[in-house]
Amino acid sequence: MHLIVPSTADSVPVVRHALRGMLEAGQIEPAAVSDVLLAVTEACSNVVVHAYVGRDGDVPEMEVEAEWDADHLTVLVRDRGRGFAPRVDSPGLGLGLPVIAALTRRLELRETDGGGTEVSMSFAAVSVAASSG
Amino acid sequence: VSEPGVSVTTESNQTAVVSLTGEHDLSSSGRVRDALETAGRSPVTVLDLTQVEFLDSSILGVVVSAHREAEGAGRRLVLVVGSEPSTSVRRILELTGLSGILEITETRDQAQPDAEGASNGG
Repeated sequence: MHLIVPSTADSVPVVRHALRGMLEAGQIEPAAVSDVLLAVTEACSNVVVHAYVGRDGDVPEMEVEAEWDADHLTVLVRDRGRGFAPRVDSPGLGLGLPVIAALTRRLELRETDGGGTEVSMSFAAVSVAASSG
Repeated sequence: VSEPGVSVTTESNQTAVVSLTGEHDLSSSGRVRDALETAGRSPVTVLDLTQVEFLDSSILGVVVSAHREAEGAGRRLVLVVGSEPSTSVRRILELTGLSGILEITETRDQAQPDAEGASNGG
């Protein structure tokens, strides 16, 4: 799955619904699907709320890539925003990243060449089909 | 996929109920904030999450703000999650540790003002 969507709040459920479609088609266990959808929702919300603060002009984009094989799922959420700069006026509780970290098997944050951020989330995603057969 | 629903009803002069249905995230957080603000004029606000299928930390951020405001004003905000909350609701409350900070009950009856005394006194 590869999506490029506007970095707006309305895109957050769009990404989640697309990802759910992919995971359900792959017959991933429902509990695992729920965790993946929560983590990816949190990562996308972080982009919308933090990545492009103070930037004027066109609505910027966020990019979501998901790859799944047998028992392993990786989701990348990428922006071209302000990178890891700390923010003293953060509007949220700051719970997004801790929640993502708790839900993922492996979490990596990288600055991209353009100065944005890439969040790489890996999950153990066992399919019902694989585990029962 | 369920669209996020938000409604506010006043059940008595004591209690206002904010009911959420479907999936809630950053895209509906403004509507949830407005509803909690409207309901917050009552002494008790019940936030009914029993029909919620998805909830993230954006919504919990709004809920925590409303909880702090209610506390400061001597009012209550009570979350009703049902006897079997959706996986998503259970998970986000557990992961954020907010279940120990927010007032959470299974049913709307338990959230009513006279339910506190009843559960303590017998």
